Amino acid sequence: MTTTLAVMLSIHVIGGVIAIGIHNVVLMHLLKKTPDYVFISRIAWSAVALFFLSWATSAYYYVTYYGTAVKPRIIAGAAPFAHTFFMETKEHIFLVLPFVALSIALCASYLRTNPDDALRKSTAFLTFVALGIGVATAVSGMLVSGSI
Amino acid sequence: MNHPELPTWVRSVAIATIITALMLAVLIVAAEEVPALKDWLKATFYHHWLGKGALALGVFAVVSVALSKQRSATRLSTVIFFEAIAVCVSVGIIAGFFLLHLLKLV
Repeated sequence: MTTTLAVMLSIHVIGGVIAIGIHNVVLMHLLKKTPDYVFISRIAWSAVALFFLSWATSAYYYVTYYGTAVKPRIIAGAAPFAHTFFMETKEHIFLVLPFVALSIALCASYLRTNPDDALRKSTAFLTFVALGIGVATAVSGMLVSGSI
Repeated sequence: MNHPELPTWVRSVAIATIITALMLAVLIVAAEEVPALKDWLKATFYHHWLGKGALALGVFAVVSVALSKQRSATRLSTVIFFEAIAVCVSVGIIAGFFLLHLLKLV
């Protein structure tokens, strides 16, 4: 693996994990009766930037390296399901995540000036879903890495 | 800071996310089941995964901008709730399909 690929993969993992952690913080704050929407919107927009950064860097790694250097070793190894289920699912459900993150950030920005309890609860539910997808994606990544 | 257009964008982006998530689920399953579609994605976008991402970005941008011009009486909380449900359905379809594929049932 070249230095560029290692850097791209590191940015993908670190950026993605931080963004997932941010969604956890957003969810915890949205569950309060009177959240600090200024704080929530700021960190929610950071999550958007990190998810798009994670997407872009993973694209470089996935397209130029994974398919030719990693995937064949997983398929030939003791745990081919790490690719056929976990990687296939992870690489595809991740595509939805940046759009959901953008929606959460817009809701948080709107709530700054228009506190709405029903929207707070819906946004908390959406953030919970995004957090679940994020955690599933991260755990799948660990399983894929651990399978070779 | 109070942007009058913000609620319209919250609604249009949520609906665009619903449409994009469901389009992705259909596209991903179809690309696995119809080799010609996957080949077209590879030929057009260099890699099928890049193709799915590019199409998702395109659909999301077009729907977001198109709907941002329209007013609606639908409550934002309702739209966001259905967005969360649609995302769950999309992820369920994608994960369910690859699970069936793993079990050699499709």
